[in-house]
Amino acid sequence: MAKLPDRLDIDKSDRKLYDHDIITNEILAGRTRKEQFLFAMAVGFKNEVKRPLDSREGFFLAKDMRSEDEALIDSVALHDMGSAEVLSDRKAVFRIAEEYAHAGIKVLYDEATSVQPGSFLKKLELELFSLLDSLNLE
Amino acid sequence: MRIEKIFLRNYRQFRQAEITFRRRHDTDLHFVIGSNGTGKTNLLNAINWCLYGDEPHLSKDSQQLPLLNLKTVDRMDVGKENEVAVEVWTETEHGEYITFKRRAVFRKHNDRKITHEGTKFEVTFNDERGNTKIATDEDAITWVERFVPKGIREFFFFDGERLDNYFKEATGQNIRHAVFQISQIDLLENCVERKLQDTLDDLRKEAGKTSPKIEGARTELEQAKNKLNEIEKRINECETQIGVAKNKVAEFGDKLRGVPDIESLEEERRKIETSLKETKELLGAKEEEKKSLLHESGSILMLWPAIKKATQIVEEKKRNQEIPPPVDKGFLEEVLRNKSCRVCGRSLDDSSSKQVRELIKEVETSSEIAQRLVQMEIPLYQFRERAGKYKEQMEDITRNITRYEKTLTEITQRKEQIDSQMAGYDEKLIREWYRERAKFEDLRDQNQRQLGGLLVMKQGAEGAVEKWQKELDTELKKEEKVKGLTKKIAFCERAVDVARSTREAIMKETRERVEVETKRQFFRLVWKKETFGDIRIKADYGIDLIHSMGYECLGSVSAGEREMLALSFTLALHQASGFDSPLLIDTPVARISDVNRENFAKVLCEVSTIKQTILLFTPDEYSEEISRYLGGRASGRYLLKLTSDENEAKVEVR
Amino acid sequence: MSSVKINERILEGITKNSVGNEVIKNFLIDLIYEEADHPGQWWWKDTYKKLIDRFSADWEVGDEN
Repeated sequence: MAKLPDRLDIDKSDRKLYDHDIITNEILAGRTRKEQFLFAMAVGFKNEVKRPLDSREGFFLAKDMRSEDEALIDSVALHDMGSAEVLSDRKAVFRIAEEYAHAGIKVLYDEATSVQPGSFLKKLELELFSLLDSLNLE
Repeated sequence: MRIEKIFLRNYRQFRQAEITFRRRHDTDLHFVIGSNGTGKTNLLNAINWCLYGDEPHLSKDSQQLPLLNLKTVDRMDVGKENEVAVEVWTETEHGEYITFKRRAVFRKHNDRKITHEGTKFEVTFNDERGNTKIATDEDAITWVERFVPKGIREFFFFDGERLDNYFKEATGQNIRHAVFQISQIDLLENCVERKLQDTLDDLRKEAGKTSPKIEGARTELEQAKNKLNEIEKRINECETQIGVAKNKVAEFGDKLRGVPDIESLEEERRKIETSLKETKELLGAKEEEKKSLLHESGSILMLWPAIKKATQIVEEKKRNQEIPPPVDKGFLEEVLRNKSCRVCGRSLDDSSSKQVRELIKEVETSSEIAQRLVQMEIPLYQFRERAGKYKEQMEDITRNITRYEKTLTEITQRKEQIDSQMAGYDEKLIREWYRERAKFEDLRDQNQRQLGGLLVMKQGAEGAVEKWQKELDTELKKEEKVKGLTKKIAFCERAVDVARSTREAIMKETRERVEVETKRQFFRLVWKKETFGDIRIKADYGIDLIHSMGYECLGSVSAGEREMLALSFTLALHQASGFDSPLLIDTPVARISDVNRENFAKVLCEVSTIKQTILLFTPDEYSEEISRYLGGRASGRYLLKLTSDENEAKVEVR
Repeated sequence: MSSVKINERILEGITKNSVGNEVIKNFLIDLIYEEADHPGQWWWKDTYKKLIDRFSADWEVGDEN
């Protein structure tokens, strides 16, 4: 069996985005690297964009993920591949998550810097309410 | 007695000036009009200097200058002396002249140094035979005391601008003292009564030497009197303290009028700041809660299609009984290891072993997948729960945030209101005023309580004095040897009684007369007659001005009204005193508004029919209202002017 | 005659309270003028005793009504 991946990576160019003031002190203030990554992944997924990584660097350790976190990235991989087979390939699962996060952090950064300071979260709140209305939660 | 003439030589602005106040009309009214700096107030100072040797109304500028006229100083040679002289010529009701003369000699040492070389004061008068006599030293002072006693001069020669401070500075004790002096009650009380009492005590001591019983009673009487005196002294002290405390309470009350209640506002502000801090913290916590909800539930909502897909796959696998996996991998591995089937016991051949190995591989893959799917089941369920609750949770947090923001706005607005109310006030100073007022209120109350006790003690002490007096009289009557002395003692006692009764009657009558006359004059002077109801001079000689609605309002009336009350009181004292010495007022109407000036003019005109009245006006004060009413009635009008070099004042008769 | 002016009310008061006794009245009036004419004299007691001796000789207890 291939060696299991022990961490999740980001593109090297994304480091400065994750470290930007608007991400660390405002939108994702107080969040861990793992939480930042998962949120960026969710943004990428919602906007249906993912991008392969050009260069890699470790962002957080796989062992730091709880079962909910693993369930989220497994769900994304399942949705992407359409079958459960993908779950046996952790590398593939991680890669899918990483690609969504790579696209997602860019989207997040662009949106946050294009609006008035403090209003991104308000916009997100409104978007989630309308998303809620459109989802069939049953 | 009236001032006939004032003569000044080298006194301040006046190198050589003479003002004669001849009476020409029904009124003995005279004006001196002069701008500031022309010597108007120094005329008042000149009279004080002549009579009493001081200048109580000297301006700050004049204090820096020598007494000797500057022009004279300039023209003096170094080493030479020159003289300042002021003479006040007075005329008695009998037509006799009494002249008060003061001369001070100055030597010039250089352009900057002048020294005072000595002063002489003398009074020239005619004796019973009509011979001219000169009194000096103590005798001269006695003549001054008969004209206008120094202790009450501020009621005869005074600065109208100081009237505003009159009731702030004067306590009941001061006023009582002034009334006593002005009406000579003090002569009766301190001199005749006290000295007669002392003499009486001496006579009793003398009688006591002849009989132990008399001596015994006399000693007891002396002790009782000493105790009574002590109590009366303490009563006086208490009353003074009460007077001072009341004035101070009124003074701080005046200062605090219109000032916001700083203590209460500060207390409220402190509470608001605590509340502000707490509300901000609660708001901050809710905003953090909202952010967390947005992040966690936001991720879930954004990933909902993936979560939904995963849930479908898990449920399908469960329905197909693919999860949990049908074959246990561990069982197969044991079969391979043992090379025998655990179910039927048959040994494994190569073909069977290969099959088992392939089966293990197949199970391995599907087992891992199945395990993942099983592990996902609970989180997926939780995601659905959280997604379902998101809206309600978010709405609840938003409601709380709105509530806290509203509270913050309200609190901030109230804080700004308080800050605005307190702006411009020196909070430290105001707190100090509150403290001081409370301190004097306590002092006043304490002394009032003490006074109550002392008055009761006084009654007891007076009873003891009466008792021992009777005892002594009884013993004196019994003893033949002291019959002559007894008669003198009885005579003295009777005289003391008469003096005391006279004093008490005059005190009561004087106080009542002063009260009636003060009221009469005040209601003539004041413009707003309906505002005020009454004036009372209390037993302690404090003055109450009663509003028409029944409350005491001296502390809240205008400066002009206070002045008119002070003037009314002064005029009443003049009447009560029986002194017909002149009234001289500097700047009489400075604080009195135009509407009241005519009333003022009428009252002073009336006063001047009874006593000489000299008014020192500035040109602004000598307004149309004043000149219209008084101009034609004045016996004399004088104008003060400075020479072009401003070192000399001249007097012009108008 | 003294040049000092005494408040008329004091003189009237003394007259009234003496209740017709001229000796007491005159004695007190003399004392008042003595005080007004010679204030602050240190030998006042002698003066007072002399006046008492003089006036009391003409006075009898119960002289007034």
